[in-house]
Amino acid sequence: MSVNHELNNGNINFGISVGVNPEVNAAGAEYDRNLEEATAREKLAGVIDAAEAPVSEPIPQQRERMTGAVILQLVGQRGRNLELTRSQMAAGDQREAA
Amino acid sequence: MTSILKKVLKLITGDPAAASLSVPKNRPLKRLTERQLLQLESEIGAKLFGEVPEGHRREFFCFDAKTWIWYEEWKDLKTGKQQHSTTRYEVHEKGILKVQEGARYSFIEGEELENLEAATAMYYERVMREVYGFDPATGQRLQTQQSLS
Repeated sequence: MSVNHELNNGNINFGISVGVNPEVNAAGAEYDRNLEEATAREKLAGVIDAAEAPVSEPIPQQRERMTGAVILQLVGQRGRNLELTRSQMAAGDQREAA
Repeated sequence: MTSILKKVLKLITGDPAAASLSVPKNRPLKRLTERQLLQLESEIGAKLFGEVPEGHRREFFCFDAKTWIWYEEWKDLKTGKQQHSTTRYEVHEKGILKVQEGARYSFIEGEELENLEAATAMYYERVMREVYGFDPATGQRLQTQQSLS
């Protein structure tokens, strides 16, 4: 591995050449992919655990859809919990009264 | 609004004058029916959005696992007639459907969806704590709550 000048899209970048060793090249590509996915996940942080979220779509659209899905899930869960709690309380009180 | 929903609302909200159900401190929830529990929940729900204007009556409650209801009643200052409005939010697989009088249906999105989520979060937090005595995050009985069972 050697430090060189690399021409990339018309810009000269100073960096480490990863083109010589295929293993290093593959590792570099994987690093880029991981970084891209991690960035996507970070942007979704606070909305949902995006570990399984697809990253192939533009982030704004994805975020909007995920937000809606999460809200739907949360509101539904609260409704189920409330209904269950209410009915258990009433049933428990009736049992006690009997 | 369908006649069934009207009946349900009347059953739940009852007579406004008698709608205030306070929980005795020494006997929080014993022998309260589901309807009475709903009334207690709605008392909290009505206050989530700030002070209810004078002459208005508001109800906001989780009717069942998939239905949240907003009811507002007021007197028209010009005509003196009593007005009311009921909005039902139904949880469907593809979204939350807003149903209003006049056969108006729409899946809510954007800010309205976020606001509803915030309202249900506050409602859930307060109702679970103040009506049922559970920690909404853990589901554990609160230490300070009077015994419910």
